[in-house]
Parts: sequence; structure tokens; C-alpha cells
Amino acid sequence: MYAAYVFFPLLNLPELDCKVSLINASPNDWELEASDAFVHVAQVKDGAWSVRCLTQLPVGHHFVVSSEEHFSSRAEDSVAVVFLAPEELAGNYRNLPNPGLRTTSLPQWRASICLNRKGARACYQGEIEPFASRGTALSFHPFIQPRPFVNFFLGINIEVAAEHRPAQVHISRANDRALIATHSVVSNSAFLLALDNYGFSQQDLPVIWSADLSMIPSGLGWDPRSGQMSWEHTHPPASMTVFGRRWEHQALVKKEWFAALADER
Amino acid sequence: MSPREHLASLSRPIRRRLGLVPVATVPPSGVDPSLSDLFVWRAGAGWTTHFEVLNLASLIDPHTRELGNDEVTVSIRDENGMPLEEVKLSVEAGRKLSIPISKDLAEAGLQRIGTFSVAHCVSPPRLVQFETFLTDRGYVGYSSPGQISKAYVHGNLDAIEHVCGEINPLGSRSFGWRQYVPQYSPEENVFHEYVLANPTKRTLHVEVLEIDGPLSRETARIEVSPLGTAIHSVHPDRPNLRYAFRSRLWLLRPTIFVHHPNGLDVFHG
Repeated sequence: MYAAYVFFPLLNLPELDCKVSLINASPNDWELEASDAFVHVAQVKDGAWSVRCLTQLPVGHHFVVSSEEHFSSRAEDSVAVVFLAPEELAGNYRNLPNPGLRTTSLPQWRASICLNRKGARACYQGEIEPFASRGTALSFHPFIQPRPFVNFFLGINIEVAAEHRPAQVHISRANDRALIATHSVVSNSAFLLALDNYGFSQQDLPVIWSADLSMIPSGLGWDPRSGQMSWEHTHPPASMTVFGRRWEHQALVKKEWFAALADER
Repeated sequence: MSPREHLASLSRPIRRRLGLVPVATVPPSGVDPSLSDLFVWRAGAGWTTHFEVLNLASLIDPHTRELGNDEVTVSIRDENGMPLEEVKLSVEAGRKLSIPISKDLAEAGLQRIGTFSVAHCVSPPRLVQFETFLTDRGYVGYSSPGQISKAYVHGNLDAIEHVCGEINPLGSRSFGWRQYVPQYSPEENVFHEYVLANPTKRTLHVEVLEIDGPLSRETARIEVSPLGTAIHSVHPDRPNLRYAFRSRLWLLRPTIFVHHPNGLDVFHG
């Protein structure tokens, strides 16, 4: 019924271990039945997506891919992608291959993506569909907690082309549109931006935005006293409205915000 | 024409009313409504719940900051969906307020769990042109007993319509029973809570199934009152189990609380 192009990010970040837990079973009983599949992991290496098959995963079975096992060091790339495909794939691809696996829509087919740090854990059920090159992003970030909690913005970008295209991510403040910082990042990466040195108050709303990179934006942090973690992604502007032509409206929202924020640069 | 063909020939609104269209939420019927998720609060016994209130209109349309503050109403209900209190507050454009939902409840001796929804007074006029409606699917921060810092989770269902002081549930019921299975296998020997909320006008009957490989067995039946909530707790004694939730909703997606020794993990299915 659907051949969604769905991947799950495996993150390689400082101080954090990442686990992607896949279950080869449909999340509902009315859209489609799962079928035997193969677990793959893909990573950009030397200008190509290097894909390798890890294992066959029969229907109803469960498999965990960990960053500790996949990445040889923290110095390696910050993200790989895990996916299920109906057939075994392997080799180097100029573009991220379409897994060709039928998936669901209500809800979307997901995996558990978990970050572990010193015995604490934060998860979310998610997926990522590769973004267009030179996409855009606009995120309002409500997650900053008072010190000593350590607050980060975590951005994840996956694009079809096997490259690390340079881009810029900006941090502004929503009420006065002041530009606080600009960071250089690359496509096909996961990046942590520390937020605690910018003087945001508890009533401030940081805006994290990019005119040349789409991403999954999220707030990640931990309390060094107890280890308690928090990880949740923000909604895109389209999720602040429902029904109707909300994606068309989102394009207008982004355009107006980018114009307002660029004026303050 | 076969019965299936006859049903398929009906208009979408009629098919939706009959529960034949797989949608999580039905469109609102009021004029200039404000939609909201049906969020869950936890209070008492060391639990705290905070909600991050944003001036959504100023984020959707940056020009609306000239309209001034957004007047927001938070409607809080108990676990049976009965109204408890309303909190009204004012949020400046481009700012946020972190409000302690649980504070007054705990002080009043109310404990455990319930639901709340959020209505915004200011909505950008141009939403009419795009035939779309403002909705708050915002962010709830929970601190479990013994913790100070919060673990955040966002709303996952446009469940409630606020219009002219009235509240109208928008959850879409299915013609038949539907099963939702979080693609998550709880760790053995770790306490988990699957929290369900009912975004419809009728009592929701839920069957919980434990799935172990090819086998599944019913382990619980739960009733959730309209606009109410219920908890299904598990403490798995072996790995690779999953839990399915069968109901008359197209999508009954729980919020999952995981109680690790080093802190709380919370996410939705």
C-alpha cells in the first residue's frame, strides 16, 4: 500500500550511547502485515553510502543496533541510518537506496531510538525520511531547564545524496528576533549545540533555524546531580495547525520568519 | 452493487461518521475553534507536571505580535474526565510560561492522574484562508518522585475542540475494533506504565494483549471515561515482550513512562 522511504538514525555523539531497537511487526492490525526483512545500516564514507546487511529479521522479531558496536570511534561520522528492506542489500551507493519496504501511515512505522548516559536513558519512537538538499528548518525550543541541568539542541539531518554539504544553523530569540549565534554544520550529520551560555531566561523561547538545511530538531539534556535525562523533538510549524492546507501555510510561516530573523542579523 | 461497494460510494463525511475512514481526529465543527491535545497530568506522591505554554499565534504568524498577549485557558480534569479547575494566564508574543499543572492539585489533596487541554484566545485571521485550525500539541515535563529535573514529551493527538467556552472531543471512533502496538519492547525487570487517554464522548473499552513471539494473550481489560485517563502497568519478567491495545479508536497511542533507577524516561508510542 505504501512504500515510504523510512530510516532510523543511529547517533554517534560525545558521552552518549545510542541504540536503535527495531521490531519487524506492524503497529496496527488494519493497514498491512509485516513480512520477513533484512536489517541494514548505511553510512556516508568516501562520497558514497556504504550499506551493509546485519541480519535477517523474521516477522515479530526484535533486533537492536548499537552505536558502540557500529562506530569504531567517536571521531567517526556522527550518524548512520538503520533500515529494513525486503531483500539483502550491500555495497556503495551514490544516493541512499530506497528500501522498498511497505510501511504504515497511521501511525508511521517506527523504531525506538534511545540515548544512554551513565545508567540513565531517554527514548523516542521515531523515524526519518531523507530530506531534500537545501531544505529549511524552523524550530521553537521550549525545553531549557534551569542550571545545573545541561541543555543542548540536537539536530539530525539525512539527505539522499552521499555528501557532507556545508550549511549554517542559527540560534535567535523569538520575542525580539535577536541573532544569538551561528554554527557551521554539514548535511548527513547529527550535531549538538550547547544552549547554556547564551543567557536564555526561563521565559525566553530560542528559535533554531536554517535556510539551507532541513533537520529533525530536538531538545536533549541531563541533570548531572541525578543523571535524569530528557529528549524530545519539537514540532514543525505545520503541527501548530491541523486540517486544510497546513503544509502550504507552513511554507508561508517559514518565509516570514526567515525574513524577520534575517533582518536582525 | 455489493455492500462494500455501496459503503465505498458514500461521501467521506458520512463514511467518517460511520467509522469507516481511518483518521485519528475528526474536523472541528465550531466557528474559530482552538484545538488541543488531551494531555496527561500526574500529581501527588512526589510527581510534578509542568506544561510549556506558548503564544502560538505569534509563532504561526510573526506579524500578530502587534495583537498583544495571548489569553490561554488550561482546563484540568480528573481521571474520569470530570472538570476540576480552569487556569487562565496571559502569554507575551514570542515568549513562554512554564506552568506547574500539578501544584494546585497536590495542594488540594488530589493525586495520581488526570487530563488537561489548552485553549488559545488569539488565532491568526489568515488561518481561515488556508482552511486550517490552530492546535496546541505542546510539551509536558514530568518529574517522577525523587527527581527535580523534567523529562519532556509532546502531545500526539489533536483531540479536543474549544469553542465559545465549550469543549468538544474530536477522537475518531472506528466501526470495528482496531489494534495499536507500540513498536517498543519493554526491558525486563523495569517498571513501565502505559497511560491511555480517551478523546471521545463515550467510554472507551480497551483490551490489552501481551505479545510473546507468535503468541498473544489478553492480560487486561480497561475502561477509560470520556476525556479521562487510565494506566496499564507492567513489570516484564522476560525480554522481547510487546503490548497491544485494542479499542474502537483508529489510533489509541499511549504515553509510556519507564522508571529506571537513574531517572524517568517518557515518550509516546
